[in-house]
Amino acid sequence: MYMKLENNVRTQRRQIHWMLLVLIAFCLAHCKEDDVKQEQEVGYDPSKPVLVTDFSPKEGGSGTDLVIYGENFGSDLSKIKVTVGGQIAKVVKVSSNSLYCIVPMKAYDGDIKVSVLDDNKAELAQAAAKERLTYIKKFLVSTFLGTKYEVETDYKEKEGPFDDCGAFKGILWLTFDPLNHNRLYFSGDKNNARLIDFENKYVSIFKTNMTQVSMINWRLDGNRDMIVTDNQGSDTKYGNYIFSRSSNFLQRDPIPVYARSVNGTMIHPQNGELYYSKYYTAEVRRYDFNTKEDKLAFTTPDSRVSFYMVVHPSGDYAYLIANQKHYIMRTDYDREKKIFKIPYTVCGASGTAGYADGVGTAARLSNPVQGVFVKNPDYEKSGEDDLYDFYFCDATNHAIRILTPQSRVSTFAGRGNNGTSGYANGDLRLQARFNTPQAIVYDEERSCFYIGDTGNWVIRKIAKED
Amino acid sequence: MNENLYSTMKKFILLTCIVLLGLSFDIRAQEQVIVTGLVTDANKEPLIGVSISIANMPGLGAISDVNGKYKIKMPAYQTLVFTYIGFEKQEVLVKEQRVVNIVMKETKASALNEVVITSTGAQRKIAVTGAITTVDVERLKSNPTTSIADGLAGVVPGIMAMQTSGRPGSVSEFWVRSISTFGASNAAMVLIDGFERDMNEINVEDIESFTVLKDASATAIYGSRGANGVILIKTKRGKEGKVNINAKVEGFYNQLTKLPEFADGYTYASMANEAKIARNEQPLFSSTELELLRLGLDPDRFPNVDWMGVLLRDEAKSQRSLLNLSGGGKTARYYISGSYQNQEGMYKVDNALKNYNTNTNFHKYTYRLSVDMDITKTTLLSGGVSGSLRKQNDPGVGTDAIWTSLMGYNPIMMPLMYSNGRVPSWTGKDDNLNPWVQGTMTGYNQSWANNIQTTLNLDQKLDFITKGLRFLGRFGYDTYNTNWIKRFKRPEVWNASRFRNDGELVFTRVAEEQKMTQSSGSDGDKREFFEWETHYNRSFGSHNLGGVLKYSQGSKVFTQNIGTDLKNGISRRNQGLAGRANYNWKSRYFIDFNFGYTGSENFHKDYRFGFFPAISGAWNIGEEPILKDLDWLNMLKVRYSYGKTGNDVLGKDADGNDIRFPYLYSIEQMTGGGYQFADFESLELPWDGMRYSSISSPDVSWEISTKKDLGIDYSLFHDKFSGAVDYFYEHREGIYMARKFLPGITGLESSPSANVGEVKARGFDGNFTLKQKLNQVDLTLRGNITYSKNEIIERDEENTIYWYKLQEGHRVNQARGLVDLGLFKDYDDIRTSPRQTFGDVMPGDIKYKDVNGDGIVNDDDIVAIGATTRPNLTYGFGASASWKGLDVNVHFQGVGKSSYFINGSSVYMFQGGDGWGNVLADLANSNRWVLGENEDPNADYPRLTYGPNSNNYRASTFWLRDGSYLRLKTLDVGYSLPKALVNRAHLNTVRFFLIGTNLLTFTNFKLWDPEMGSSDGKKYPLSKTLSLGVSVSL
Repeated sequence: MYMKLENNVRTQRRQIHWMLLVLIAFCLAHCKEDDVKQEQEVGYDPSKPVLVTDFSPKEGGSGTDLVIYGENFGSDLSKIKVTVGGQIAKVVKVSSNSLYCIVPMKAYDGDIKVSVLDDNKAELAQAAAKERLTYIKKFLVSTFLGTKYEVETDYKEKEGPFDDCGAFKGILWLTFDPLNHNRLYFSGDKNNARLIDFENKYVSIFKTNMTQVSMINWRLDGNRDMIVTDNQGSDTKYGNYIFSRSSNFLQRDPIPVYARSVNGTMIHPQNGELYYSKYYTAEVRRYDFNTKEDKLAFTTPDSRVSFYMVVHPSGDYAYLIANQKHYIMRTDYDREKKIFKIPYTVCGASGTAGYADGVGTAARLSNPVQGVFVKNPDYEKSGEDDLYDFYFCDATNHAIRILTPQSRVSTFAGRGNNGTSGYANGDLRLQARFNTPQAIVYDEERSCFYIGDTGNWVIRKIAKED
Repeated sequence: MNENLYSTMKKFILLTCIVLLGLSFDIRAQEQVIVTGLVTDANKEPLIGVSISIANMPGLGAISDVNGKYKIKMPAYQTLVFTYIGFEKQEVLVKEQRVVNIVMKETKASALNEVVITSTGAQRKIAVTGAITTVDVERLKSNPTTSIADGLAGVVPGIMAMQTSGRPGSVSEFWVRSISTFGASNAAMVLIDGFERDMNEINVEDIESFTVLKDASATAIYGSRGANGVILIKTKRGKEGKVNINAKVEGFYNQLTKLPEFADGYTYASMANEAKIARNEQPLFSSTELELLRLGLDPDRFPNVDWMGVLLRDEAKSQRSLLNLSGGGKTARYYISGSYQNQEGMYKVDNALKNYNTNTNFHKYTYRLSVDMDITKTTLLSGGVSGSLRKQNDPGVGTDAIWTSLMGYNPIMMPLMYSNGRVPSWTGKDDNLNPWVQGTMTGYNQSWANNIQTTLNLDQKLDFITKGLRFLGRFGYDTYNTNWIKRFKRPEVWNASRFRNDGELVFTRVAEEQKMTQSSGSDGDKREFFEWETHYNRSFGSHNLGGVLKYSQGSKVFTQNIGTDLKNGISRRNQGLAGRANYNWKSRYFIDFNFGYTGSENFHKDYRFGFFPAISGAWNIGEEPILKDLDWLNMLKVRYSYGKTGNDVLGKDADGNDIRFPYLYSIEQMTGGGYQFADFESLELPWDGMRYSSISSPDVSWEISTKKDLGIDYSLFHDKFSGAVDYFYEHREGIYMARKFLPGITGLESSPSANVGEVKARGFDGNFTLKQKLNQVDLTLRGNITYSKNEIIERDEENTIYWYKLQEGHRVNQARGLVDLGLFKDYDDIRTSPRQTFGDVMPGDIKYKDVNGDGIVNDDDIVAIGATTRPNLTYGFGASASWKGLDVNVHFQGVGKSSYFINGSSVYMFQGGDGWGNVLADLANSNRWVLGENEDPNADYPRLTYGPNSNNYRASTFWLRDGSYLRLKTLDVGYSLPKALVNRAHLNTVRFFLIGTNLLTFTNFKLWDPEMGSSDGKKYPLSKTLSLGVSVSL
């Protein structure tokens, strides 16, 4: 009996051992370290040649992303140099068999060379691609003026030279001094207006002593004095003031007509009378500097809308831009009566914001603001009547758009790669992005556009690469 | 003050010591004798490990050794008690003899003698007339989580349960039989030792019995709240005899059952391009950009991050340990238990953060003390205190936010960190932060919940008045408090622009840094219960009579965060009188009458009290003289019950507060919309008047449920095959609901409420057990099933010409949607099909059935499809086998008749059109309609769209998935060390066990764990658990 039990105990002991084994195995499985999977960076091997086998894409312009394939590039960004068309290209990342760089400006020749450098930046090896990059000159968006702050609270408003002038809030309307093309002004809505001085490369605050400046305009007669619009909220106060050139735009006198909430103004380019639009009453009124007469020109269909107005260089018509209602109207000029007539819609749909290119009311806009007439050389060649396209800021579509005389709306710049708002320079449609651009002006002397990129607080520039 | 307390404490401890010493001296003072002997079974084989104790004496007693021999020192003229599992207790009075040899007799387990706990106390199973299931508590023990409810599904016939989140500390929802109301509450009432308490408060090991009362006869006595079924839990009490110590230690190893798998960055980008091109738009990524992504050449703009892998660990561990002691003598008995559980979360933590832990975890401490004292021969006084403390830790943003972003972040959206060290984030919103940031850099939340429950019971036999009369009094006082402290912070987060400016990244700051801030909150409530019962049980020859009369009152009041509204500070009280009368003749014919007369302060005084009667009967066919002698028939009983029960919980109002006093109206000041006295717009001179924010519904009263139940209990072939089957029918009337479809011309500003809903439910549940001994192997097979179906008979809803649009006639929470006919084959197919009104369609878009044949597909074609999210069928089956010390137990659990829609950003691919939302790998790799490549009208997924697609992305059979599954819920392997070995170490039993839960799942649904019933998978998944433990008793 006792023996039998003893035996039993032994077998059961063996079972315990077995159980313990399972236990230990179980614990071990717990302790297994996570596999560390990290790609090993492969350094440059001096015993092997550097090779460039291919690159992509095969054509591009300044700012194009370029991938170069090859062998033995190493992995150290500081020890690699890439030139395209003789210009040094910015390299973003390099791994042994490929690298990513940006096509530099003026890389006309398009020959691609990759060099590996030593610690003293001396060239150790070089390789060139067999093919050449086809370099394309194109319109590019760049940042002209102002600091793009990554952190909004770092914002500084200051006067200063072009490379240190802070940022600009509320940019609403850009305008060149008609007698001095080195002076560009812009209104800043509830913020300060500025003067950009190209000659001294200096930006200063233009003092108006007004709380909300909507427009800056210029008289046709006399000294070509400045007209500044005070967007104020009282029916018993003046809306527009003359800043005289003789006082160097320091002294101001009101145009003696009470006007509340004036958003848009324009001066007829031949006859010189002032038109101004009123937000609450939907009126566009005509003021004659000679007779001091103030009268209603016409009434727009929508009250409580800021109607910005841009007149055609010929003086034959003007565009009325209905900001909050997302459409543009045209008003033709009655040369006999010297007054603009009842307007009609040329593009967009009243009250319907959207983004769509198209003709007339099929197009969709979103809070359009300033526009500018720019001569289209193609129209001259084909002998059109109207030689001008209208480029305007479609603010909340974050784009610059074009309205042709035939009322076709297309997109000129912005919304890079199907995007919306942002801050990116480069190719007009593939890369460039704006944030609520409101102001635009065309500089005929310098053949470029300046864009008030209101949401980014900077002035952007659109120009063709020379 | 403190010193005072100290000295009192000291005195108290000293006193206790003296008393204890005194006791031991007392024992020593008596004459000590040594008794030896041999314990054998009926076959004269020695029995090892028989527990031998001295009646009415504290102490460890003795255990018989490997030869069945024992030796015990004891005072003379005392009784020796021999107990052994599976054998009947033996008592021997030791006088002059010094050798006591004992032959133990095996217990004759019989279904006839089984005891069932019912609403009015323990009853023999044979005498039960209602539908009552007693659960084998052992079956609940293999559940690895911290809550009992998680272990109910597929184990308890008549209970359906669903574990909807695997987050440590979360609990399952469960309901008895069927959801038969769309009104407020469908939760069963849980009574622990007679008081309404939280089931998850209690440790499985402390449970003596677990009973589910399902029909009206069993629950009518509870009147209020009995409508949804009642669960009775009785906790263990101390037993007379030697000290019994049980200890158990378990370690768990958890893995997530099924994590959603996502496509990698390159696949994602290619599909985004495909989605753009499929809708005639320019591709999202240029070929150069795809190349940069493929080669990893711009990890700032085109990263490829596996967010799940970054944030989630492969495994987590948890522990559970518990200890309980019980024992006592004839006059007083005690039971003490304590337990600790700890569940670790699945998030990775940043090891740089040494000073605090951001991982989700859960700790639970519970304790339970109970004492039973026989004050006189007829008076039993029992008292108890039990409680728990739960501690929970969570990352600062909370777990839901993390799962939202884990499912929202696609692999190329953001890198883990920008190359210049900046922290990327989609937006500054907390649940849009980078998942890694959410998990590791947002601080942490801590919460505590503690519960103290005090119980006092008095049981007085009143045989001196009339034989069989008994009085029971019960008083309970519970307090519950939760506190949380949230320590939130957030780093400065950035967004890099899609394009580089001259090769440099362009950053936008999305949100500034938030230094750690602290907020805290608390919540609490207090409950009081008072009950008395009078029982009468007597037999007069063949006539057995019984009766119970019970009075109960209870109140619950929230003690914190009650705001300024006075009604929140008023206790929720109820009061009731209930009774039961039963009669049986020769244990053959039974009749039972139950009633509850219950009041609820939620109702106007004219409608406050409800009377809920129930009658039930049973015929014990097996006891009929003709059948009684049949050897193979041990028990056969037919039961029927009919009765009414009520429900007074009215649900929550729009603000999430419990609806109270609907018979009162509320008036509030208008905000906006008042009369404008100014005639000029910029001068705002409005006058906000008063209005009814809710009008009174004075006639609101009880929701009443009429229940019928027909059941058979059987036990055949010497109790080898036993079980029960019940058919049930329930008719719920007077479901409280807002009359939302009163027309506007009534001029009412808010909808009054009334008892207008009506639901019918029917179904069956049943279980069986088959026990067989094959050679030395004890084999048991078990199975259970619950099926129910409900139908809305009446609901206050807008009339419609299409009957199928009504909820009436359908299940409660029925899934609804369009019926799909596959995908459009080509433009001809689109032209010749009924016009779909949800936006433009192209070939490859979903084609719907025009149900009403009016030529257009619109919302009028939405019909009931599938079943409900919550399963209507739950089943479980399992087997256990034991052989010598080894035991194996397998349990499968499954559900059926469940379906749900899948949707959300990971299923409706690219729906946001802004890059938010990851794409599931299954959707990327399966048979998808691709323009020019795979124009299969029967493809699994439609033509892609970048951005919203209101035609494809809407509830329809196309997105309806079958939620049925079968899973190997538990696999439990145990090994008990041989008695001979254990006894040498003076132990009683030692058992090692290995338990696996959720090891295998069989389902057609592959995207995430089907049990969660989640439509978008944005939840903490359930765990697969392996646990290894040891339990010891001495």
